[in-house]
Amino acid sequence: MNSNHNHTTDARRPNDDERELDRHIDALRGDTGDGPSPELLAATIRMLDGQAGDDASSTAEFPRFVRTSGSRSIEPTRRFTMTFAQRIYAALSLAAAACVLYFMFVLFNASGPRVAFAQVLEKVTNAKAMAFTTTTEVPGGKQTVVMRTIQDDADHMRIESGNNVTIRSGDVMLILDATNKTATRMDLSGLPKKNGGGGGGGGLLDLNALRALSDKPAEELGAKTIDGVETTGFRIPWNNGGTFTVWADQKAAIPVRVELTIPMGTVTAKAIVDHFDFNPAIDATTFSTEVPEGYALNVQKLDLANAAPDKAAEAVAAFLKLYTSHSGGAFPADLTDWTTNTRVITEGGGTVDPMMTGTLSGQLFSLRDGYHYAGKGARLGEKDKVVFWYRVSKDQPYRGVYGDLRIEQLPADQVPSTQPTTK
Amino acid sequence: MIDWPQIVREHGPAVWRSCFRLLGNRADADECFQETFAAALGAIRQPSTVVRNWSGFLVRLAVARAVDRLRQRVRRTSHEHAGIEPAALIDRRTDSRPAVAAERSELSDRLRDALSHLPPNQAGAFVLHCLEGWSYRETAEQLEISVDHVGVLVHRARAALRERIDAILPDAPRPEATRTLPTDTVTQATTPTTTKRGAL
Repeated sequence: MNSNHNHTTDARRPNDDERELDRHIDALRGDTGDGPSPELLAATIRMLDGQAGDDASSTAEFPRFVRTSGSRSIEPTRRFTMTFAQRIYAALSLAAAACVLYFMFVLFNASGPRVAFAQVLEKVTNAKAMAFTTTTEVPGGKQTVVMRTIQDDADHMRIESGNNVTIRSGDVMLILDATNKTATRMDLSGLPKKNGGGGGGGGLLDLNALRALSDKPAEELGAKTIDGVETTGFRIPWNNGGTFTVWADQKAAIPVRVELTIPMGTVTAKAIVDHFDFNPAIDATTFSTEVPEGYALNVQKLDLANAAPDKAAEAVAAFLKLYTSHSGGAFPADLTDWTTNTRVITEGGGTVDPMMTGTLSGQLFSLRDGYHYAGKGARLGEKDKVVFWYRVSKDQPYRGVYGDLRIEQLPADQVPSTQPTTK
Repeated sequence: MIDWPQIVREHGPAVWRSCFRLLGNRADADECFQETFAAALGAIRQPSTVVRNWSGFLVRLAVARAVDRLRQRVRRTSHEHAGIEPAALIDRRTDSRPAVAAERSELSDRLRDALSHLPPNQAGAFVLHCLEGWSYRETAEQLEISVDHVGVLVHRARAALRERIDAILPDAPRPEATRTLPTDTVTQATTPTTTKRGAL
């Protein structure tokens, strides 16, 4: 062997690599930039002072990272957008679940001897919890969202989607972002009370709340095999213009797949609900609202008293006030074209709180009898023109928002006869 | 009552430097800086959080966030710029700087890239000990782990970084390595040598 051979082309000497790493460490250790700008320090102090004053802001805003000249903002809108979308998808998910149970109950009851009524009733009314997967497409959205929901009959819910988890336990909602290690805890107030008892509601199945969803007959679609299961399909049109299609296992009397179409202004969202699991395994951590270690916590209060469907007029009037103050007095052509409407407001010098638009969107969606918007072409101040009207249920009077943004109950003879844009 | 203005003024520069060191550009460092203080505010609101060492507390938060950003940046750019080394996308100093500074900049970028591929706990321990200059005990106290554990994490991190750096530029000259290859080496069989320096 050549005694001069102290290094081969294939072998590395550990000391060489260590020295190389130390060179890199030495270089990076000294690479510390020029320090923070005075502007950044001042902006950060303002940010902290603004949030440290009250522990839970009543305006329910996410932390506002302050833009400094020469640097990017922290993109708070990205987080707003994610939560806004989550709320919409969550609303769809919950609506889908509720409808599944109700329509399964009704349809199998109506389908006669194919499925024993007792089987259906037992399964549904005895279920303490349910899990399912919702796949939602919203036209204009950037992607299809897949969510796995678990809920029980004690007002607990857990929704997992990507790296986000939303947990609702009574009056507390916790939103976890595993990517950014942030936790937002919302203390909710003004929640609507659930109907209960008397065989008409409560728990997973709230018949009283669901009966108004549709008063139209179901269309039988025939048989179809889904994932190797023989199913029977039924399609029910909703009062708000959407459709509900359920494919149910003929033998087991449980849904296999539910397809929903939900009108949302000028677009229609589609959702598929499947992978049902009645009484899934639930433990103490499933609905826990404890903040995981290492997560940065932000606490907010969210008053939902004005988020109920019967407050839709107030929410719409507030939004139209914001819009018209930045549009030169013109009303939006389409009330729920949030993209265009937000652009008009921001280009007019205003800001849009996604919490406002998200809540309003949910309110409009939950109006079982639909709503009507006739603001296209109207201008602020037209006191005799009704630009928005709705009713919570058929036995309730219509409420309307006029062109001067006042809110009134509409006598029957003053309800506009035309149905201009949406039902 | 926490005097946030005082804390920001006193500890802000060190926090910012920690952010910049890992992220390499002012814009990202500014954002990471604000995120750090927002996280500190959130942590302080936990009854179980008691801060005895604000400098250590804040730098630890800053390092964790900067490491996360570094990892996200690499994941994002690997999708958006297939075929381009992530290190190439980090702000570089201009060619007008002296050669030494340019070389150090390149070394920094390379190490940042290598760090982004480490598990977060290894990256955090390595940064606090090797870059921030903390002792094992100080690092252990802030990370709430044992001193032994810090040692293990740093050791593993260094090994992984050596390998990663070697893989990025395997032909990079070793400035202090001894290379005395005889001219007839290439014709010899690659059997282990019995001499001390050639031992595997």
